[in-house]
Amino acid sequence: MKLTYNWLKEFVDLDLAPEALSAKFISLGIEVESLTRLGDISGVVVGLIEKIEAHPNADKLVYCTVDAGKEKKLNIVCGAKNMKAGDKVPVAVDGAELPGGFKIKHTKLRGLLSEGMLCSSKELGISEEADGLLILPSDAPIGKDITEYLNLKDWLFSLEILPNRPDYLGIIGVARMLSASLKIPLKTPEIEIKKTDGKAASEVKVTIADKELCPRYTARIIKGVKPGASPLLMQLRLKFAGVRPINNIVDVTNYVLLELGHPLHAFDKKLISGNHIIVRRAEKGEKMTTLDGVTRELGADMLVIADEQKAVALAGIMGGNNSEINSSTTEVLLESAFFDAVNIRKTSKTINLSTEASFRFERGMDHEGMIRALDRAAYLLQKYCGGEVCDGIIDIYPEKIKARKITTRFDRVRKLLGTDIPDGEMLGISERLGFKMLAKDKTGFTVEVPSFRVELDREIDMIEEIAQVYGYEQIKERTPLISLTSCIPQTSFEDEVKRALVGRGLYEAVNWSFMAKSWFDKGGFPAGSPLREYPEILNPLTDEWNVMRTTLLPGLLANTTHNVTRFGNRNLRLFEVGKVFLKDSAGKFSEHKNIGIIATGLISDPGWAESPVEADLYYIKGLVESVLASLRVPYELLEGYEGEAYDKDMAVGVRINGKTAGCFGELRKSLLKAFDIKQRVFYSKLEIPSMEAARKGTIKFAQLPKFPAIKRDISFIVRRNITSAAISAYIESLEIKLIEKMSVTAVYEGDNVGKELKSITFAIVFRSPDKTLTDKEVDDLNNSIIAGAAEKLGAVIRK
Amino acid sequence: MEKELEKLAGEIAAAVNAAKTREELEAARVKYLGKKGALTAFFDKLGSLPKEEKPKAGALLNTLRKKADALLAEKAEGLESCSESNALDATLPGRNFSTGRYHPLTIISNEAKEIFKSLNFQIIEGPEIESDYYNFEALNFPPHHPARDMQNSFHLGNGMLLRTHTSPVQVRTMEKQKPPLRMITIGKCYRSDASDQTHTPMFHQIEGLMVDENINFGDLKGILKVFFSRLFEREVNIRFNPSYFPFTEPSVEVSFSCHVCGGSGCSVCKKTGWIEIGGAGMVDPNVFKSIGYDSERWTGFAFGWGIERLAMIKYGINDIRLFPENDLRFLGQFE
Repeated sequence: MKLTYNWLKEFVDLDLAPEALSAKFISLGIEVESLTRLGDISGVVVGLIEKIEAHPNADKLVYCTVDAGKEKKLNIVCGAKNMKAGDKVPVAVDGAELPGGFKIKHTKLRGLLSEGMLCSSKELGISEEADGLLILPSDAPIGKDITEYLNLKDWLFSLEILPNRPDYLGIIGVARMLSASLKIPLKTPEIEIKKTDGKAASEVKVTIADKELCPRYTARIIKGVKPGASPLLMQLRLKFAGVRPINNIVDVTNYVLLELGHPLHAFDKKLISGNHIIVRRAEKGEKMTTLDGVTRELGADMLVIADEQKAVALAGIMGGNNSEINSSTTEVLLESAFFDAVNIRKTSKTINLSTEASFRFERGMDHEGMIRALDRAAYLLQKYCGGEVCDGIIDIYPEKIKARKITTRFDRVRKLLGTDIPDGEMLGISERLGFKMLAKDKTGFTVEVPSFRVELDREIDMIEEIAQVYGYEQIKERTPLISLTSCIPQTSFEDEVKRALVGRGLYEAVNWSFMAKSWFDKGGFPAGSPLREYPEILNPLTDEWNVMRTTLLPGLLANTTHNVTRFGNRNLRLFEVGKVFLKDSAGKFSEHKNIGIIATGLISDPGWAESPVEADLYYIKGLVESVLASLRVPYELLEGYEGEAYDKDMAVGVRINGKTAGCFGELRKSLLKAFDIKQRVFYSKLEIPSMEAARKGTIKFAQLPKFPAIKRDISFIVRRNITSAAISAYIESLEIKLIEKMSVTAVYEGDNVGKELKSITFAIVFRSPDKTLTDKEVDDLNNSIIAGAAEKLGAVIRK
Repeated sequence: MEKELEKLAGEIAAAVNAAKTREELEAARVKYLGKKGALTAFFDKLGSLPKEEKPKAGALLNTLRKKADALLAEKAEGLESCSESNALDATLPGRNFSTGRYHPLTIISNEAKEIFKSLNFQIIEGPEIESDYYNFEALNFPPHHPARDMQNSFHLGNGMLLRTHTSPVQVRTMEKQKPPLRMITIGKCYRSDASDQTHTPMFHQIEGLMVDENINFGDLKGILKVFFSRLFEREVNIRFNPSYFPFTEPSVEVSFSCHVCGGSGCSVCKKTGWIEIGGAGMVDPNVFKSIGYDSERWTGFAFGWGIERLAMIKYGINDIRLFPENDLRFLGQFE
């Protein structure tokens, strides 16, 4: 909500400067979004447009002769259209400064010298929208400084009002809190309605057909109104508050809404047929055109204000254009009603229309304060629109709303706040806040909640009220006594996973959980791909984020495109630990924590002393295996993995507890191409829950060997289709117990071994737990391996 | 001849000693031990000596030869290491260590977890796809209440949505555990708000809850003071301003005194001396009621704020959109 400092001062005797007031608002829980100095302009005066001529060189510009009280008339080029000769407007003369430090100088515009600028309210910092020149009253004194003439020197507060304080949606509510907190008097707005002959009750009949949705409806009749422009100060304040001035009658209702917080509506009474207002539910499919010109189809759960023939307003949201105030309006039916908050909110959501009125009604309005709003508006119609207010208020109030009572225990307040607030202080605060004291004794007190505090009905509400006025800065801090719990897990598996990957030189990424449905088409994933079982977001912000990710790949690929393709950083090793989301055929959602790893370019940072090594299948394989081993997760590898986004035979599956729980391999070229990546990329996925379930307990220490080991290298020259796994399987089949370990130390293909052949060197470590082995014993074992190699593997042993 | 050899031994030693480069040493070797060297010449003479002198002279020559070889070898070694140290350019960069990096959000989350673990809080996780009940209703957001507008949610259908805050984990934990309890949770949250410098539709929150007998508003202030002082490694003060969250009452907006200037005002705190961080409050009795805790006996507090915001404050990051971008030049800074 926006209000100006001077306007607020009409409601409370404030002697805080604007900046201090801003700090006070914050301490009261009213967030100040901005505080702007108004009228921060110089050199703008009232000017009279004497003559308007066409601009010889531009169709959209005109050439005005302006009397701005200077010795010489000014010639000013202008692009606005809403003025005529004889109008008075603000003129920024040579040297003037407008908000934002914008300076006005003599300038040639399309060949004609312009000696200043005629201003709109936007240019003066009064409103956000430019709606033509600000036309001033005809009695505005020529040459007078505009900030003085318009009383522009003021401050504009933009306040964020929380949903539990609808009372702050009127200046009076804010003033009331300041009055209680600062102990300064509250001022009530001027209301002096003159007695007239007319009787409201004989002018119009009101029937409430649905008292659940409209518990109270009040109205006044004002006759003899003269539609026109409202006073300039009113227009300016409306503009500052972000409300567009329309005419004096509508402006009065909006002005009072801002002042007292209660929405009002003015009907042209002559357009209400049968002089009968009926508050009823709309009929299903009933249509009405609201003031914004939109014809809306209504539902049976929506409330309308109707006459005997038609709906004339959508209750609490917007009036209808069939009963709108217009230039020939002479009689006004002024409505101040109380509607059910939930119903207004539902209707507003259904038709997607939120207004100043609906915003307030859905938060709950003051069922007593509505009368004062009605009277204040009637008074202003009398004052500014020449209206005569008919005697009496039409007040249809079928069931009086009961006042809420709250009993508060002194000790409970002190216990919960941990602060020794004296009993008397609590009573004083409650009274200053407008609570009516019903009873009090040694243990506590009972109050009646004022009607403008719609959200209070429990002791805890009173505790908060007391604490706020007492001051949160007075709450004493204390550290609670915490009893130690014997068993709290100290690390999570996820933390260990991250540590294992960071320790292996990878960077961690955090990507969006959203992705684009179209990603799967772009990436060439078949229609039946399980990756397409995504939960859809029904109200996405953009099509880029219209489903939940089913894989970590899109984010990691986007990171690759970003870093490699866009920023030329071709070496990338990234991982992410995060959830993917699935929707099963029954429509049930599930979430699964995965690890995604991507590697491309060099596998270590390049430097002068290192020979560069490109990422390949063996990099990602080694990474995955060493991470699984370090986390003590038993696994098996399965060649020929299909799925995710790999080319055929380019990926390996990871099986944990007999279930495929991951994979690694080289990403499909076609996929990379679709995402603008021109180098080989390796990717792995691992499922955290399967890993965690399979992990073995704590580290188990193994005794260090007592006797030395002897190592032998054997180079098997085999056909190229013989795998290293086949050779190790062969060696294992010999069941030589003294082999402690074996590993591949070299692979060679080339001229020295002949075409279609390769050499694989195994280093085999022999060790006995009982004694030191002799060379002879080891040679015998080694020879037994060599002996069968020709038959079993077709291998020749390189000497 | 003995005398001559003694003299030669002295010459050889001096020549070897004097050599400053390998070339000079080689020249010395050639001069004495080469085919036409001085020592070689004595070997040639050996044949012309009388038979009885031969063994003695031979032995002498061999000893000298061995000595000379040893001298040369020793000198060569010395020259070698010397020449190597001359070739060393210590200004070349050292070898690279390709170290990994945690994402800054993980670093901050881990620091927060460590602090709360040391205060004996449990660390709990919860689902990101939530029901309306856990995300709103159980937290005292009635259906059709305008407070729901404070957190615009993404809907997935079947009454499910992406959680807008980590607070549902409070409810889930209280359903499973009896008080007293202390917990925190950290995780992703989603709100359908457009991105700008300080907002993204996905972000991370830390949420805490403590329930016990006699927990009061002052305890909340105390715990927060401990947390922020430890996180920023400086004693800070806590300021509460009134606020509103349906699941706490009283509700507060929490600020801590600026960790950079200590509260005197600087550019980091925009001259206010305070840094606003997030929301907190005493658990609303309606939340206890929906769980089945007796709100007369048990009281508690809850708090929550953005991990991104913490990281931005701690590292001086000016745009929240950098976090999900994963630019190496960004990630590389958080070692």
